[in-house]
Amino acid sequence: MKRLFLASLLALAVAPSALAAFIFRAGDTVYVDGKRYSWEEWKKIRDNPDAPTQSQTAASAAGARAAACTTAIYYDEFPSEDERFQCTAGLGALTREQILEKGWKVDFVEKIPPPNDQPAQSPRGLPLYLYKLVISRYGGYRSESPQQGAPSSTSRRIDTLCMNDCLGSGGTKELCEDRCTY
Amino acid sequence: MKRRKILAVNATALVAAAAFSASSPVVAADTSVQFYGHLDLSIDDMTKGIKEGGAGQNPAPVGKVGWQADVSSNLSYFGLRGDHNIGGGNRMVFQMETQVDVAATPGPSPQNQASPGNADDKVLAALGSRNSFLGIAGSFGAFKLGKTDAPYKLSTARMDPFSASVGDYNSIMGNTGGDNRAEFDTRLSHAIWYESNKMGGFSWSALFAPGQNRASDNSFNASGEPNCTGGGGVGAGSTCNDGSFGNAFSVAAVYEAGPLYGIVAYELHKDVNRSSDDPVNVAVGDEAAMKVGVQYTVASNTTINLILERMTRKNPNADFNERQRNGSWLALTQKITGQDDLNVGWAHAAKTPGQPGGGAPGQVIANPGSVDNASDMYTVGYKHHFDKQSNWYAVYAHQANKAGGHYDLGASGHGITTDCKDASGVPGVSGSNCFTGETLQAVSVGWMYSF
Repeated sequence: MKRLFLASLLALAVAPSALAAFIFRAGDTVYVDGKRYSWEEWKKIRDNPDAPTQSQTAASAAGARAAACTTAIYYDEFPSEDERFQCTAGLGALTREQILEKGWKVDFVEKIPPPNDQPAQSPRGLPLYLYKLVISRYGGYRSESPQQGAPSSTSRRIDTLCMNDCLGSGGTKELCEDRCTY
Repeated sequence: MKRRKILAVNATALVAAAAFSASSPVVAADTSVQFYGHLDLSIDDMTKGIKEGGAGQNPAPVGKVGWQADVSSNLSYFGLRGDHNIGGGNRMVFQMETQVDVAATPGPSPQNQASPGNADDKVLAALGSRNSFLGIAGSFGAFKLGKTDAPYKLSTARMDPFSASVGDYNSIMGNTGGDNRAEFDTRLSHAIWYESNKMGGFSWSALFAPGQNRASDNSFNASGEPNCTGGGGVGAGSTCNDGSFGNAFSVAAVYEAGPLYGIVAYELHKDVNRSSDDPVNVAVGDEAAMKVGVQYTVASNTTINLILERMTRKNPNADFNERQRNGSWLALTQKITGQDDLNVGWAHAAKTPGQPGGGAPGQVIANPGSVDNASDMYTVGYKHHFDKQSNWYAVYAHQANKAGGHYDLGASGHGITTDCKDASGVPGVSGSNCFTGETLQAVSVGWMYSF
């Protein structure tokens, strides 16, 4: 048993971190090669592993490779996947799935509080926000090879049977999406 | 004990490795592992409603058959799931999931609580007892090997707001003969299956589980299994003749767009051995089920669920066939506030062509033939969500059986179920009487937490 433990430890500890990042998640806590993140923090990093710098973003925006999509109303939690965002750059009203299908990726999410003359809290007592997605289109400004630059978010998929199982056992949609995405 | 030690050691290794390895920025996520779980505990009070006489012309019952309080763990589980990047846009995906008997002591599965001799050898709280697999996923979809809830079952799982409660729709849906085995709400072991990616709003999945049975009538355990396929006895040393089947096929197609979720599903169990009912007139035959279902959310506050199901059995003699009927489920969830839901549901089982007899002398099911064995289950529930991970709930369920019906409450999920049996059986010698035409009731208050 001791040998099993040592072998497991050695195999995991000596793995080169740049090639074999090991991610362990329990609830809202994520350990990535020993570093601790919240699930929300990690999702942003995971889905946007090679986020452009500020100057890169500005350059791509000039070439119409960036846009912003904002909810039309205030929410006390992140909107469900069928909610539409009003997008700039002539994109119109799109759901998150449609944004991704059109070849855009979400660089980050900004929560915008309401102005002072509007209610700041929902009936549930939670703070209200507009949700703004800053999105960009792949290609053009990256210096990496296409293979290196391929973002992991494009390969993330929902395990549909897991999703139905999770929803069937009383899980909320948000919880089940987090659990059943790979 | 040995299994527990290994688990503990590996968990320690994971944490230690995570702590000791370099905390460099992540470039590529190579391996991801997630620990997750679900706990659901309730306090219940249930009655079998059994009494002498009535529509079923039943004998005098033996034992305590009225209201009984209990503490129940309802499909509580934990698991590890994850993926490993193998290049080319593909990933190995895996899952190991185990039921946790939080309230009861883990052990072999009771088929019904009134017949202590009638148990099977499955240990539901053993490691890997729930959906577990290893597969490859990519742009083509996913192929997996292992065991899983069948696509047929999972396609409508989200349409049951009473899942794993005393009002679970499986008291009737997917449940051919009543009792606590929902044959078409099943987990299929030793299976291979395919799951498509979403194509717009459309996706589909298909599963095949070979019978892997050396007996031509499937009366042995499947190779490598401790129990008869489909439950109903232990097989080894005896005979799998109460629902044991061979090859199984299951397929489901799903369309989801905005507020609409719709499914079509089909499942086939080949050569189902029910010769314990009658070796000539019931014997061995194919059983199948098909269903269509729609879930529609109106204005974010009201969700309506409708399922229509048809189950069939190729029985040698229709007068003996209690496995062929129509069924339906109608449920409504009304959000009262952002955190509170009111749920109501109605399940209906139509009459079957016949039934195999075998009841106590004088009962309407004493002899084979046609009998009104329809049933209706009505249920109402309230759920308060503390947040996206936790809630508490209250459920009332009422199962009204016609003269020959013996449908129960809590099948396929609730830890403590009811059934049609009294306590007249002698362990290891004889079974208990099954009472028909009874009205079962249950109330349950519980809470659940998922992570």
